Amino acid sequence: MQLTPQSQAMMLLTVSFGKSDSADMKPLSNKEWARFAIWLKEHGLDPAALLKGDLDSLLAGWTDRAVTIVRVRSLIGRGAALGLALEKWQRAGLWVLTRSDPGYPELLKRRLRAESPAVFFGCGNKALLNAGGIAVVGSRDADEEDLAFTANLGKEAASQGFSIVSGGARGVDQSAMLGALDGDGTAIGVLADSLLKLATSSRYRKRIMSGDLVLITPFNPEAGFNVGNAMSRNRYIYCLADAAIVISSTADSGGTWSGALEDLKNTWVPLWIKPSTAAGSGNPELVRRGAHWLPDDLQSLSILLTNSESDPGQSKQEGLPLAPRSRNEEEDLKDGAGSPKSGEFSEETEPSFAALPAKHPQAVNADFYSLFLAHMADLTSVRSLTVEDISVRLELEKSQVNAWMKRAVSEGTIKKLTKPVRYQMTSGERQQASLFGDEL
Amino acid sequence: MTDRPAALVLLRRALNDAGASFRDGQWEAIDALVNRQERLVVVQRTGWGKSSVYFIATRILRDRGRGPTLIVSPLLALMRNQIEAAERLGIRALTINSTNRTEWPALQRVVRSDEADALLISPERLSNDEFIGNVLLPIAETIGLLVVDEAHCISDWGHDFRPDYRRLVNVLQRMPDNVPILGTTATANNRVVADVQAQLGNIAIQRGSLIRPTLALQTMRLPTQAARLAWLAEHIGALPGTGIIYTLTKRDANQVADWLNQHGIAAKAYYSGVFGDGFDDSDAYRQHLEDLLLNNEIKAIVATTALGMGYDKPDLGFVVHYQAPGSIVAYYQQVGRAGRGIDHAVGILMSGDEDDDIHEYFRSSAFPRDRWVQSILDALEDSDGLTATELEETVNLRRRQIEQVLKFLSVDSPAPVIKDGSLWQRTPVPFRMDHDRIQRLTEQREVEWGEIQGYIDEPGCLMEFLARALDDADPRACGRCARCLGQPIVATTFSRDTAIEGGRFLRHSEIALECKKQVAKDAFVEYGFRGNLPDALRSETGRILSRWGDAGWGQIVAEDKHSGHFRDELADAVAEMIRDRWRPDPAPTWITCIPSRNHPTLVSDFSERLAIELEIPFFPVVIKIKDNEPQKGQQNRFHQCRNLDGVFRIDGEVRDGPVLLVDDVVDSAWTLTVAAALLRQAGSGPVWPLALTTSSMGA
Repeated sequence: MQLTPQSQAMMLLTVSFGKSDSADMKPLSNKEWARFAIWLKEHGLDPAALLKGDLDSLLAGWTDRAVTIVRVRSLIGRGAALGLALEKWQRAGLWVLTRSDPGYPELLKRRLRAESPAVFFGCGNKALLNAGGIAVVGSRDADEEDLAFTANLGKEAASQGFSIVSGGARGVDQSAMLGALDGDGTAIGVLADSLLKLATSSRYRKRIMSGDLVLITPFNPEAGFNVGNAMSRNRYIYCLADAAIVISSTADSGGTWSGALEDLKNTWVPLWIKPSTAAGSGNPELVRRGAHWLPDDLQSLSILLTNSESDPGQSKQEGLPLAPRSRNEEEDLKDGAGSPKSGEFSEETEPSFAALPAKHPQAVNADFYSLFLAHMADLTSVRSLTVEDISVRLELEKSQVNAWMKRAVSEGTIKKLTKPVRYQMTSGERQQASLFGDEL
Repeated sequence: MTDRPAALVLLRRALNDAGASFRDGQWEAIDALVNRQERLVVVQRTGWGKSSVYFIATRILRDRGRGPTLIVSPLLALMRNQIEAAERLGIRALTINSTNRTEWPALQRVVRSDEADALLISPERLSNDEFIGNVLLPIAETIGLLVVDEAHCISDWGHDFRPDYRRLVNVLQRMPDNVPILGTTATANNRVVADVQAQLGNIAIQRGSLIRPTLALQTMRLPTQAARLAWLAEHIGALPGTGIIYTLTKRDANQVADWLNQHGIAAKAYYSGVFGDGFDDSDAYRQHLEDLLLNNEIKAIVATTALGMGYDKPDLGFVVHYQAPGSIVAYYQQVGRAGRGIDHAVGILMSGDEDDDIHEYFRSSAFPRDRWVQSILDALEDSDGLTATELEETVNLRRRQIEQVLKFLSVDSPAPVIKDGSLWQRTPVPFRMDHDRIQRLTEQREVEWGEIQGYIDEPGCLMEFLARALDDADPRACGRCARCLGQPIVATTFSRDTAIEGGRFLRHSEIALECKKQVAKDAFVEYGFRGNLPDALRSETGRILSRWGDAGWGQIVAEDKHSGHFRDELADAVAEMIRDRWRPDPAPTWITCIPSRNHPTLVSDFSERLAIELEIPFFPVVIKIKDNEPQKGQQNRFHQCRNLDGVFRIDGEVRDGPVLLVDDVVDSAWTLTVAAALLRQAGSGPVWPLALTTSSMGA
């Protein structure tokens, strides 16, 4: 797999290749990259242009105290190192996903905007990244009972057709992911370190090969553990999921605690807390700050995706299944029946360098029901979804989804599954949808 | 921008010649690299001045504040004339290779502080992940120009495609367009060039004439090795200057070098892994040998293909082939080293009966077998990584086979295995043997071998034949070769006496036999051998009469092994070898042998006759008490050891004097090692092991 010059330029500017980066060579942070990328976009420049031609004239007019032309030149000049590092990573079966690639998780872009990483490294089934799931987080040093609970939760999620999203660390993360995988389900691991090592471990390797697992990291795939990285990757776990469950947290310290607070503050996904009476547990305090207790008689996990009305602690999220809707109201209105699934950034968050997918102009002329079906083909390619789920993802009212669902089921294009009620494109339709536009 | 006059000043400084001017293509290449950041492969004959191009480009780029140049070359060190040219340009060139490991930290510091202008590493280094991560990557972030020497190796179609170059291609393919790349080669036909272009993409090709006007070519078919040895002994001394004699196997390199020295011609054997007294490792010794030839301190180096890549000696007087190489490109690569800075040099290709078999062996062993690959992937499947030694315990394959499989798998991209430190790990990449590719490459090699036959028997101009085969733009008759002249450059005759002596020499080419010292862990549960065998249980250094099927006794041993009886001539030959050449001291006072249940009399009957010749008694005291798997089916140390545990017992009279321990075919030598240890335990004196032949090829 060869990268486009655009992806090469993005990697040169944002990825750390070696073990030491001098000040001049420090790769751009997410925010720095976003700032720079918007400027490039405004000036009609593709990042690939930086690979050829004279930087001084290309970047004339760019002034930034942190992102100096000297720094850009040094970073762009790391081509040999890029070749060496990338060769090893790709040889081990890892891939690179940049913000401008189709398949980059839409939810991240929408929820994090400029803060979503320019580059992810990963291994396994990319399609899972856009399929949502339930985030499960907690301590590395959770007790046996919590771990057993977590593993069960993973299995249950698997049987109900939900992916588990977690951080791949030992303890709660690993129990949740392996629980889901052992239950023949799927999992997403957002790693803070050692992607290369985990991808080759016997624990995860076969799951990757069977398409049930995807591991990603925004950091150098060979990077070792680093507290800062571990903290900063928590938000990606939340933002790739539809709901989150905290198994155990320590009040006022640790990654689980700060990650949960970050979610509460940004209202990315509904946050559920496993009841705990252990001394020093931060769980009660998280509920006090706006999270919900995880019901102990939970039958269907799909309840977690909306906020249970019986829970008194949920008032601040009432009626708003997902945060981006409130923050991006305007954008949503503009997008009408839902934003396109792949490819470009929305205009105000991030400039787009990728060519628009060919189907986009056609889509504008289609009626809403056909558009809905097209999105369903995408959404349910990996697994079935509940109505709640679908309405959240497509940002439609539930009543509208139900109405269309009824029509689609009667037409035989979508099939209805039970326990819980879920919907999936029938396989013939899925195939047709994928052949669409390529009929020969 | 740097213009031509400015570059010409640099050229003149580099060559220390105020009147020098660019050769065709030199300035164009420099211009493309430094002014347009382009990528370029130059196909130019040795001596055209490729290093001038990249050193001048380096000087220009460094003056503009760019990082150092990375030169990937099979050369162990820059040639002296290259170093001098670099120095005149103020270029500080460093080499990082296996011979200067202790200097790496210091060299790294030099590069990181931006004091080095050029860095030379071998392609082997580039396929070592540890080296890349710890040494190269930290300094790679500033590399301004990348030079790939012997770029034809990149191509599948190159005559000696190397796995390490496959890795290099994958690295190059991933480098963005702002890294200028220069590939250089002296041997590439159109197909190879097209393939390099297809693999690297976006790379321009520049080719010049490959004709070597000072080289006189000749070919000779001499079926027997004895005849070729005789010819060498009588003619090498009169060939101009000093040169290289190419053989196909390490064994032949050693043999020919020994033979020449016996005839007063100073020659040294050279191959990968060759060792010399007083040198830390093979690479250091090889560099020493290269220097000996460079300084004309010996008449010839007798080398396998390990020598040639980038070896640049302007006054090399001759290149003689003792056996035919596998392809025209390989031949041109080797013979093209001769005569580039002198008016007259000769290239003589001899071809013998054994060449065909050797190349057949090379072709059939070029790729690992499916079964080996599968067994290694299976072993890694359920682990988090195994060392090569742990793999040996799990799979019954030779260390060499295991290494071949791992190398083969690990250069694929993506690859099913990756090495982390000493651990081999399975990656989440599915794997399927690419049989089509293997078949295509094998067939290609057969075609190339056919082309060499065409060259040997070519009635027309030999240089023109080579030039045509290499797709030279303007092939012309040279007027200097044996065909153009209508008579040999060097007489093809030799005396009958020398040939007879050569035959005798080949039959006297016994090999030292060293038994094992360190046993595999947990393999000898019954015997209780552990770790290093104590000195008191070790055998002495023995002898092997021949190699399986070789031109000396090897063919006779092989025939007799099949017919079930070793002829008396062999007993005579062994007795003569022991008495006249080996002379073990203290001399054996009795004989015993390794028993076999399948052929109970073959070796014992031979040993008995040998005992009579040597006038000492034969006591068959080593008894086999357990049926085991054939030892030749045991492919690595662990399995070879475990298969012998509890198999032999010593029974009967054991004398306390020195003993000769006889076997017919020795492979790993574990059988002899174990029997010798048991004999010593039972009270025998020193044990002298002896075998009639060895089954390893020694290629």
